[in-house]
This record gives sequence, structure tokens and C-alpha cells, in this order.
Amino acid sequence: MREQETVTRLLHDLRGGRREAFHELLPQVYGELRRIARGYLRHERAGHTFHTTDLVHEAFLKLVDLNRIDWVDRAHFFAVASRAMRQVLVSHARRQQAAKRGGGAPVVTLTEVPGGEPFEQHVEDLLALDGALEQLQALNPRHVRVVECRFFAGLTVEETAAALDISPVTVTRDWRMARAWLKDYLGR
Amino acid sequence: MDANRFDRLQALFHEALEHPPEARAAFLDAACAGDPDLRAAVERLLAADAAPDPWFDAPPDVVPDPPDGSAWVGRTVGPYRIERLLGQGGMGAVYLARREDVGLVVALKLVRGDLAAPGHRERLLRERRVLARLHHPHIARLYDAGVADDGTPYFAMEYVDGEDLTTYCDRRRLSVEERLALFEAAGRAVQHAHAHFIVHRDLKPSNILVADGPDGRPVLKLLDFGIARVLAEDEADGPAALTATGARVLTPAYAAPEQIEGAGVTAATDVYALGVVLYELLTGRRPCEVSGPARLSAVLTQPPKKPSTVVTTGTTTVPVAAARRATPERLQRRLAGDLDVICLKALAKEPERRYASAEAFVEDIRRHLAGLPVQARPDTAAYRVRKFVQRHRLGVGVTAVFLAVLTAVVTLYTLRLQAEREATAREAARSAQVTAFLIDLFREADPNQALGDTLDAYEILARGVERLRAGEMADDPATRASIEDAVSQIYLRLGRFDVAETLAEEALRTRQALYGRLHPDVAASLARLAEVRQRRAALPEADSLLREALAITEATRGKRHPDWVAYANTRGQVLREQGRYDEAEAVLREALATGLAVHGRFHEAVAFSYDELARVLKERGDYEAALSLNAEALAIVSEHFGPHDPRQAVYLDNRGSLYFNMGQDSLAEVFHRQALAAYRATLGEDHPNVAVSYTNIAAALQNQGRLEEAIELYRNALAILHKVHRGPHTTVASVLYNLGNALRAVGRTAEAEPVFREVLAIDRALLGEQHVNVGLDLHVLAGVLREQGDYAAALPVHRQALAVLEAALPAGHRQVGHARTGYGITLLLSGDAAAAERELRRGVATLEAAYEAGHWSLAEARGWLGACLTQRGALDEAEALLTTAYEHLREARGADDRYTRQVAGQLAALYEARGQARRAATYRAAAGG
Repeated sequence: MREQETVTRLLHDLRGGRREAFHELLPQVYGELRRIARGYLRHERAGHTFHTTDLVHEAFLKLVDLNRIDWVDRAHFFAVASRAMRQVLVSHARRQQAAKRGGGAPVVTLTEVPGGEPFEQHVEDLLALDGALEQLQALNPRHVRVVECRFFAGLTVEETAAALDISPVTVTRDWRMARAWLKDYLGR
Repeated sequence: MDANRFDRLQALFHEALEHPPEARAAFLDAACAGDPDLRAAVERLLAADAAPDPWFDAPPDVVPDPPDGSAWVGRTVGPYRIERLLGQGGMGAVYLARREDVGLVVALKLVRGDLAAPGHRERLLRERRVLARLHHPHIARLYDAGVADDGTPYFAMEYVDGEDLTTYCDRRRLSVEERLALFEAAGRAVQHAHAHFIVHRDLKPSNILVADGPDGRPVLKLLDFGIARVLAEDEADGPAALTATGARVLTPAYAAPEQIEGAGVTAATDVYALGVVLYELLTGRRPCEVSGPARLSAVLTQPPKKPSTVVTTGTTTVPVAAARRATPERLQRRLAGDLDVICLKALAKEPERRYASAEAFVEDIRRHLAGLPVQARPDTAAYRVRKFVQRHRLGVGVTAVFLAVLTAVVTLYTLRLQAEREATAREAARSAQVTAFLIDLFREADPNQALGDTLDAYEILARGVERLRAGEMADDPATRASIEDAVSQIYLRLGRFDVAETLAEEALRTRQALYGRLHPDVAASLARLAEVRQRRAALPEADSLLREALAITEATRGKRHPDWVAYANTRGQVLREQGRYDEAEAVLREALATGLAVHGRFHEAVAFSYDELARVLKERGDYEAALSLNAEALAIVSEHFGPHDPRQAVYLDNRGSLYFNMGQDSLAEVFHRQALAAYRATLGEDHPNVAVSYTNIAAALQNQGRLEEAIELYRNALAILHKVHRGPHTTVASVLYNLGNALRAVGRTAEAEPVFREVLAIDRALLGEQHVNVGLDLHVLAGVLREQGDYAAALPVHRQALAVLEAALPAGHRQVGHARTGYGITLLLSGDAAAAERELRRGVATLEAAYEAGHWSLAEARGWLGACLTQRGALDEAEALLTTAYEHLREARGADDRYTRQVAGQLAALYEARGQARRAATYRAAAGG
């Protein structure tokens, strides 16, 4: 399959040290993720939720030739997908917000957590978070990568460590700092 | 803020976290001196860190908009007019639609846009014909399939107004059986489709709808058959092809490993998905609970947990079990065994290790529901026997013993079979045939094979024996002898010594004719026969048989052989039972040393040697040494077989008995209660060992004077034993004997009489008229009759007791002395003091030779002789006898003991006869009136 070949080749490139491959992969993964999210959206049963991790997962199955990649490539894929997932969610949140103001049809919402506020609140929160991450990007880009992996793609500490080629201890420390900083910044 | 300041902030944040909360202020005072902003920033971070934030800590979920279905409602797709949205699934939305021209109401499925792959239109039309041929009461019909004007593929299906399978089951709180019955229906539908070369590929509860039928019974329908295949991107050619590659329409939670890997999809893929559905139905959980990217590798590599193990862990165990009308523990027991194995077989990672078809899967569910052995399990004899017993729970008279015994015997043969695989092929074949024969007895007992539930274990065995007698295996005497040996062993453990003996003798004769004297099988038969004789109390015969078995084993296999150890252990036990303690100890020590060399420490035979040695030392009164040997046996068994193994219970029981003998009745009670708990946990409530434990506890209670409690426990024990044993049984006799004694001790002699009569009847039936136990039973019965004042009835019974005991025991045996003394007492009470004097003098003389001078039992007899002599007027001799007897008894049993008080009464009578009123009054007071 053509798409699979491309993604697999780009992952190999990434592994070989060609960093631009990351940015070439991003649109591929983003496109697929958005397609899946939309598909779910249009027809899914009310009340059913999809963890973003499920979407990333499905995209992985679609985009990668499993026979031809190993765990390092897989980890890299998830690093890319975490970034893509952030973009998908933020872009859907923007459209959601636009729809409320009379724009196009709403497409995706962030779920309410059990016992939490209504989901409109989360759209606002998500957009605010995206803005905060922009700020954090300037202060420490690695922290942002960790947040993308942990928050947007739901990766575990170990998976995040593998995806970003850093140690699990670093992931834990970065996540704790970033989380505290973001909460403080967002006044949560 | 810049990157440098962020780094500083970060460093302080982590450092502060390493300090305990109360020390952080001091730390920050020092670290941020002169920079209050920095300090405030760190403090805010710490506060933010400490506050929980569910939104932030959980990955966001994507939810669809609330469905209004408005986009399609009212529109027409093909010939169908869409009326309302029914629901939505992974592949698309389903609407209720009506075909106006024929008035047909359908469920119309519109497929997700991104799933509508190029070329689907052609494939759709091709597949439609195949799918439309699928007629099955549990498969929703596909009426039509096509493509809407905008290119959206649609399917028109039979409309089913139902709930999905799991919701249906949970809402109605269906039991495991009811769930299995529904699942079976689903499986049969899948099987039907497979027979038409159609694989579902996307089986999950939401594709299995259940509605209440007109008769109130559930009606189940499978949806979406073949649709995933229609949508598959790389379709193999031809509708008959069962496999296809590249299809990525899947629901991750139900997808089989090969689907995730993108490998071939076959009928086995549906089997896997059915396995997930079953797992969920039974446990409320999914076999793979890992979510996120890690699920990928988990589905591929991580074996699912047994269903029975997940229903008692986690936070939802109680509601999950309640939805199945059970407690978590009961649900766990219900799932353990067959259902565990069935689920895991369906969920095997490799398609070829799963059930070969949905049919095989469903068949196993059916067999499980019918109580038949399931195919997923290795066909061990033990398993087959267990199934048999479960099936005949109400009908089998001897269920529990039978289960234990047969499992043990058959397991033995199975183990031997494994060992002999490496020996000669012929020996192995023989063991296999023995096992097969035994298993076959149970296959015949399947309810489906016309025998029904009334068949009980004895009948099954009897049929086996009949088959042998009728000439089965006549052309293969070696195998025939092995079967006879095995069946003999079963009868032996069931307590049917007569049949066991006949079979063992036959096996021995056959083997001797085949092999001559020097052959291991001949030794085995000798040892088996010895065991039977041992149980029939023919101890000298048992001993000589065992000596021969040991000699043959030494000559053929050498001393360092498991057989030698086993026979030596039995011989040690036989010697102990004969009271030949020195020889017993020597044999057992050798068995122990050899056992340690042959097996190492952790072996049952070694534990047996230790415990048997402990019993020998117990007989010698060396309780401390006995306790430590018994502790060794316990340690071996609990380390080797686990803390709840019934074998440990045996040794706990023995430990209790040791304490019992040491007079530490409360410790005895403790260990017997532990043994009871171990037996119950492993063997269930109705096992004879449980009854034995009750008896032992009762005996310890009895010694503590808690007689009423003891009587109740004896009755518990008997209730179990009567369920378990039909006809006469030694254990029943001994429990009855103890019960009778307890009743007698509380003065309920009228109740005790029938109990002892039953004991007598059992012993007569099992042991024969002339057995020493029959003599003892008669002796006790006579005593009970005397205590009721029925001397006329008691006297002939005494004479019978004496006759039996004098014939069965060596001259001068203490039991003969007791029997004669008892006879004398009754004669005295009946008014024949002259005859009484004669008997009591002989009795006391025998007891004087048998007991040490101060023994209370002797003292009691002397007391009676003294009482007799008082009546006869030999007052000086009477006084001498009675005063020493009183002192001995008071010393041994205390002043309040009933025997002590009895002698006090006899002394009072003496002094009254002498006219010494004050002394008489003193003793009358000591006698308690």
C-alpha cells in the first residue's frame, strides 16, 4: 500500500537521523487521524467516547507496515502522532468554537470527564492549553513534547521515553514540572 | 520569563519536592533569598503540583455530537425512506427505514465515509447475492445492499428491536448458565455462516442483539454478517474464499492478533472474537485491558488472564458478580476449570491453537452445560471422574470418597504411564489400557448413554468387574491383572475389603503364573494384598506378604527404588499396628533413609516415613520426638504441595492426635480444627475426612468435659458418613463408638444402647463374628445394658464378649481382664456375689499383670472386687483393696472423678458394714451422696 510504504520509509529515515522526516511524516499522520476522528464522529453512538489513544492506535495500524518496522520506529511514530493528535484536537476545538458562533457544523468535542464540567468548557480549556504550550515551547521544547505524548496521545511514561529517546526518569520529572507550570499558567 | 529563569525555577521545584512538605519553607527561604518573585513562583508550582486535576491527568477523549440523525432522516436511499436513527456503530449509523412499495420495515445501515474504499460498489453487488442466501433464525437477514446517490454504501437488513447481548444479560441479571445458553445460540449462528464460507470479521456484543420473544424467551440475532468483508480493501477473489488480507475494518477490543497484524482472516478470527464476547459475558471485563498504543503489542503477545482470576480483583467485582446472581467468590468457583480453559482456548494467539471452528467452540459450551467433559481440556482421567461426579451430584451415594479414591488411583496409572513411556513400549501400552478401561467406565456412565443419573459409583465398579469376569481382556492376562489391581485398590480405599481382596488375589495369581516369583508386578500384587489384609486386621499375614514383596523388589529392582520405599513404609505401619514398635522403628528408619536417597526430601513417601515414625514414638510415649518428626512431615508437605493440600491435613490430624495423647486437649482441638479447615477447603463439606476431623475435635472436646458439644460433632460426622458410605463401614463404626461413649458418660445410656448395637452390627458384617473388635463391642454393649439396670440382658452379652475375646487375644490380654471384670460387676449387681467374686478375682489378676501398679483402670477393677468382698463379708481384704484403689484413683484422676467417687461410695459401704459410721459418712460425702 502506497501510504504505508511512505510512512514506513519516513520512519526509517527518522531513525537514520534525518530529522526533516519528522515534519514530512506529520501531515501524513495528521491527515489520517483527522479522517478517523471524523469518521467516528459522524456515526458513532451517543455517549460513546474514544480515547485519543485509540485514534492514534488506529492510525498506526492504517499507516504502518507492521512487518517492516521495529519498536524504535514504532516509538518514533507515536512521537509524530502525539504532535498530530494535538493539532487534530486543537483544530477541531477551533471549529467547535466557530460553530458556536454560527460557523460551520461542529465536528469534534472533547469529552467531559466524569463528574466534570460540560464539554464546552473543555473546548475553551483545550484552546487555552494550546496557547500555554506555545509559551512553554519557548522556555523548554522538550517539556512540550512530553506533554503532547502524555496528554494528547495518552502514552505511558515508558512509551513517552521511547518515543522521545529520553529516560523514563526524565519523562517523569518533565511531566511533573510541565504539568505544574501549565496549571499555574492557566490558573487552574 | 526566559529559558534560564525557567531552568532555575525547574531546579528549585524538583529540589523542593525532595524535601518533606514541612521543611520546604525553610529550604525556599535559603534558596530564594533576595528573590521573592522566584520564591512565589516555586510556591505556586508546588501548590499546582499538589492539587489533583482529573482533566489534566486524563488523556482527552473524543466524543461525537449528540446524534440527531437529522442529516439523513426523511431522505430516501434506494427504495427506502429513512424514518429515524436507531443507533450508531464503528462502521456507520443504522436507521429505521421503510420500503414503501412492499411495506417492509428494515434496519438501514449507512457506512462510514472513510470506510467506503474504492471499488466497493462492485464488490458490494457481488457479495450481496452471497449474503442474501444466509438463512438462519439467529442471523438478521440481509435484504438488500446498494449505494446511495452520494456514494455512501448501504445495507438493508432485518429490523431487530433488541438490546445488545451484554446489556441484555446484565439488565436481566442472567446467571452464568443463562448467559452460556444465549452465547451458544450466537455461536451456532456463526457456525452456520461459516458453513456458507462467510466470516463475520467484526463480531462484538453490539452486533448481537437480543429481544424477548413472544413466549418470553430471549430471541437472539446476529447483525452485520459479511459486511466487514464487503468493505475489505484487498478482497481475495471469489465469494467462496474464507480468507482475505488487508481488511482493516475492526474493533480494536475484539480484533484477533492476526487482524492486527494484517494477516489472513479466517473462521478462527470469528472464534477469537466470540472468545472475547464470552469472556466479557462471564467476567464483565475484556481479556486485554491494556489501552492505548500498548494494546497493540498486548493483544499480540500478552496471554489473557483466566476468567476466574479477574472476577475477584478490581473495584467492580461485587456489581459484576451481582449481575450474574452470584458473589465474586461463587462466580470465581463457577468459572474456574472448564470455562477458564474454554475461553483461553478460543483466545489463543495462534489461530491454529484455537477451536478449529465455531462448531467445536459451541460444542464445548454445550458439553459444559450438560456436565460432560469438554474437548478443550486434556482428557485426564481425574478430570473425567470429576465431571462424572459433578453430573451425578445428587445421584451418587459415595461421591466424595469415590472422587478422591478414583482420582488418586487413575492419576497413579497416568503417572506410571508417563514413566513407562521411557521403559518399554509394551509396558506403556499396558498402563494406557488400564487407564483407558477405568476412564471407559465413566464414559459409559454418561447420562447421554442411557444409564441415567441413578447409576452410582459402586455399580460402575461392579460393572467393570463383571466385564472382566465375562472375559474381557481374557487374551491379555497381563493387562487384565493390572486392571484387577487398579480396581482392587479402588475398592480398598472405599472400604470394601472383600471385593478388594478377591481382585488382589486374582491379580496375584495371574501374575505369578505369567512371571514366576521374581517380578516387580508380583511384588506389587503382594503389597496390594498385604494392604487389604492390613485393613482387615490380618496383620501377621500382611507382614509376611510385605516381607516377600520387599525381597522380590530387592532382587529385581534393588533396594534403592521407589517401590521398595513404599512397601517398607507400609510394613513399618503394619508392624506398628501389631505393637512391634522396635521393628517398626527400624524398618521405618531404613525406609526414610532410602526414601531420602531415592526421592530427596520433598516427597510424599518421605513425609509418610517421618509421620509414621512419629506415630511409633507416640506409642512409646516419646511425645517430644514424635512432635518434631511430625513437624518434619508437615513441613515437607506444605512446602511441596502448598498450604492447603489435603495431605497436610492428614499430618495436622496426626499432630492433633499427638497432643490428644499428651493430654493437651485444647492444643489437640486446635490442630484438629486446622485439619478440618484444610479438608473442607480442598475436599468440600461431604468428605469422609471432614467427618474424621469432626470426630477428632469431638474427642478432644470430650476430654475437656465438653460432652454435649462433642455429641453434636459426632452427629455431624455421622451425617456426612451416612451420605458418603452405604452399608457397613469401619469409620462409621468408630465414630458411633465414640458417640456411644460420650452419651454413656453423660448418663444417656438409653440413647447409647442403639448406637453400640449399630457398631456391633457393622463390625460383625465387616470383620466377622470372631473379630476382637466384635468382642470389645459386646463388652461395651453389656456395660450399657448393665447401666440401664437390665442385668438379665447384659449377662449373656458379657459371656459372648468373653468368648470372642479369649479366642481372639492371647491369654492374659488386658481386654480379657476388662471383659471378665465387667462380667463380674454385672453378676455382683444382679445379686450373684459368689459368681461375681470368682470372675472379679480372675479379672483383677489379669489386669494386675497387664497394668502398672498405680493405673486407674486397675484401681477401678480392684474397687469392684473390694465391693464384692464387702458383700461376701471379707471385710479386711476389701478394706485393703478399696483404700489403695481410692488413693490411686484420687492421684490419677482427682477426687471429683466419677470413678474416684465410685470407689469412695464403695468404701462408705464397707465402713457401714463395719459399723464405722463416721468414716462411712466421710466417704459418703466424698462420693457425693
